[in-house]
Amino acid sequence: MNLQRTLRIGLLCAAVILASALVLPAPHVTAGRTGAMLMQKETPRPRRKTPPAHAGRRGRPRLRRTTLHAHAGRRGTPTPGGRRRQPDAGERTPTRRKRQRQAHTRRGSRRRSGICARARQRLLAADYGDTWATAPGKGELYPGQPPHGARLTVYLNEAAMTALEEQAGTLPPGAVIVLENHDADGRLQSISVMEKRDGFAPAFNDWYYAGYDETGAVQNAGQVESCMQCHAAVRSNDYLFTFAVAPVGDLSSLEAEATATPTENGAAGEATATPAAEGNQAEQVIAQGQEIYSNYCAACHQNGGGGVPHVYPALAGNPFVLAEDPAGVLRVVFTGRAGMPRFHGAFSADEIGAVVSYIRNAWDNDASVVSADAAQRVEEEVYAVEEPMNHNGSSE
Amino acid sequence: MDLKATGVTRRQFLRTIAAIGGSTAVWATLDSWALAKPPRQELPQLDGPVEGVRLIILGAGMAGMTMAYELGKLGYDIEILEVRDRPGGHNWTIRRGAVLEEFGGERQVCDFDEGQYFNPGPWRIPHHHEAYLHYCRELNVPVEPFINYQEANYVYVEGDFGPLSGRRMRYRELDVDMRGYTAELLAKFADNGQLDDELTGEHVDQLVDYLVHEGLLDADTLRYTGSHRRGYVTPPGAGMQPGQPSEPFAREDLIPYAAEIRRAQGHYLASAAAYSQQMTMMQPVGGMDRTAWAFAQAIGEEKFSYQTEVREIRQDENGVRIVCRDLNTGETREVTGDYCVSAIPLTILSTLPADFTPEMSEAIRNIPYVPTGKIGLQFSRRFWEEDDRIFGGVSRTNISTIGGIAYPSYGFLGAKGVLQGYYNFGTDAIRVSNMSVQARIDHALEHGSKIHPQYRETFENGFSVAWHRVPFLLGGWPSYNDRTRELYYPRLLEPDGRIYLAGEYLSYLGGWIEGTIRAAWLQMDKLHQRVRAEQEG
Repeated sequence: MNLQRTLRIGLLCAAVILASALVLPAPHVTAGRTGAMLMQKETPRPRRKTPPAHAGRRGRPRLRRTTLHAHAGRRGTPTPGGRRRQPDAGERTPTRRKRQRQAHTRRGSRRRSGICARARQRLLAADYGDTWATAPGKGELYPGQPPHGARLTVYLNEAAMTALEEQAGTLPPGAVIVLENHDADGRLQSISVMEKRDGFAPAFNDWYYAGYDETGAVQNAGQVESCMQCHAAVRSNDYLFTFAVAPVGDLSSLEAEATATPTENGAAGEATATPAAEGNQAEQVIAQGQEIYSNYCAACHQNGGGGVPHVYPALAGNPFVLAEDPAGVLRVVFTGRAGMPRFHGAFSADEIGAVVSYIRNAWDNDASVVSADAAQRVEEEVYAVEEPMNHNGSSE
Repeated sequence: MDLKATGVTRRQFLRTIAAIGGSTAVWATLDSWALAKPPRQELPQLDGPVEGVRLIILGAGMAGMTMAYELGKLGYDIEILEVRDRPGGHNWTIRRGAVLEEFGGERQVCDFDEGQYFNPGPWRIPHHHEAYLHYCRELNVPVEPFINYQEANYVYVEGDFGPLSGRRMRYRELDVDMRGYTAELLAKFADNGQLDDELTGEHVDQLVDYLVHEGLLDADTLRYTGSHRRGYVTPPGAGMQPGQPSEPFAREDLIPYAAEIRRAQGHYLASAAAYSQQMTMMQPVGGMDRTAWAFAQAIGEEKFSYQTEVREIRQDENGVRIVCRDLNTGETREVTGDYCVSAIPLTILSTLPADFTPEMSEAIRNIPYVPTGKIGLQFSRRFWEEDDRIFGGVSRTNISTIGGIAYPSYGFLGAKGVLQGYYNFGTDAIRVSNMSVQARIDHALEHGSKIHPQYRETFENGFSVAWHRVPFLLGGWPSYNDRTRELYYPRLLEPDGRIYLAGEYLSYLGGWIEGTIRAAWLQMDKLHQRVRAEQEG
């Protein structure tokens, strides 16, 4: 199934949704890639420039330069007192194991402050608040929805703005969108950033997500699951809710997509059985698979899926991975073989199905998404007579 | 007495003995049958000498060296091919200057001070691992106590597990309180007659009496109200200092905390629970690799070809041919022999072109290994001894990527020390190994400092090993289950033509050197019997 969906999407306003604090752990981001960010090269676009808004923003706390610098040098150390967003009231209660994993992933994000410190510095250098355009038709402090702030201001750099004007379909590498989350009184609460990084996550249009609290401390960064889960609902609009990057098309289909987003229960709404909703579901499965992959597979098979020759098999372009029937590759993930650990017991059938779906569609791979049934069938077949692996099965 | 002739089973016979003479008589009878201790593979008594038999051993780990040592004594002509520049394989000790480059990782060079070390692989020897201790005796490797557990060790639980979450406590506080409270509950039930369906009146009284002492309960009220066993707020001292006992935690506060750490740590929480962890444990003085070097010395340097990577394993009816590559010169050469012992991990063997039968190849390929990792952290002072009065043992947490913090059993009262900052398995080990070397250290420091706030100011340097990413090892130990034991294990135990396998994967002691040695004994017995038969025939 080709995940590059062709559905043309129209404009859907004010639906910028970013779920709570679940964070994807660090993908392998190289320094070179980070350095490729374009922010420092930004030049103002007078035509689009918002009015020199010091007046308009008077009395409103802003991200202060000193705060940013104070954190910028703290490479590799955790952020003291970094605020975490509380889960939505309606969030599903996770299982204990999942809670534990979430706890770890949250902590994990704080280690990347080195990377994000550079991002902050570039944001600062760009002085985005004064020189970038605000979202077309939005202006400042327009009403927002959870998990974003009650009042939002969105800034776009030149690369992003140009692509929007040209209805380019997707934003180019270097495009940056900064979303300031304010409370109802206009006090800055946090900042959400989406940045196009060439080659960062090809399966997800190379978006790099980052969140900062009001002091500039990094909350999360990289392939942030909570961001990606919601934004996957508008994949066909280059993962953007607030603006249309493609010519206006069928507005209703985008709304159908939006209703299927995991705003309440963390899962795609099944009520809307439109093709769009089905596509969403597949994309969410793949997004879930990518999270697992980057944490538990990439250490050996590498983020690019290339493996290590003669040691860890490449998954990109691997016919075994791409076979029409995914049972073979599912079986290996369940049972393990040689250096490949057994993951049965460590992950549910759904999760293993998701990660196999991901590797069948990541990079240039293009094969069917694994159905939940297929993964469960293989699990039952292999483990009919056997208890799950004690995945921490130390015999020391 | 011939039991077979009488048609009496052993068990029936013992029952009869017991009826006549009681258990002492049974024991004496068992002893005479040499069944009083569990039967196990013993060092085979091999008769030599053997001449003109050339044996190629792949891998200078503990399995390969056990075979080289024993068969070398008999006169086998042995060559050991080892890809590293040291013997021992997983049995490795990290000291100053140790180098590791994992796949996809960075190069680490150990910066510990002279005299500091940590064992990233095997690190402790149960007192019943007779085969290992046999070689310590024979090769004059001195051993010392390994302290696996100390009541002063900390327990730390975080998460949603009651009001005590996020608070460290001593193991003795947790243990004494939980024993007190459970004893109290059971004693009250018994005293109320609620166990009368299970026990007779006399036994109920005895049980209550036992529980009073077990839990240090008040004999009249059967309540647990604390105990000096759990330690003092102010310890007893000289003069007017009688000591102020500490207060127990509230029962309802402690239960969720205790249940969580038990879930996370299972029997590892208390040393005395697991057979393989019970005191006394031992370690070679100066590092685990002392046994590896002792073997290498006893075998003789001339039999080792270090930095030699095995590329192909070939055999026909007349002999074996190993294609290997000298890592220094890059040159490929062939080594031939009559037999081959593959003492390299199945993870590696499965990637090599080899003349195995399809059944053997299938078996080799289908045993997954457990991912596992450790980190050693050097600190400028032994704060755990100076401030916390911890000497050895392991502090344990439900932070699964950390697992436990193990304190060195050597160098007490010294200036500096190296802690084992985490020991993780499975998915936790994979996740941590996905981090850069610096991020692994940060991870260990971030979480370890919740137990020891002194971490940050005293940390000096660290060295981590993720075994599943270590070239030519690619994993900790095999993880069998019932299915793979049934489908593949028996095949691995048997030779394939002229090739024999050896390693702890041929035992039920996965991950233990004891399993390695016993598997080597098993295989060399088979090989030697065959060689003798061929020579005589």
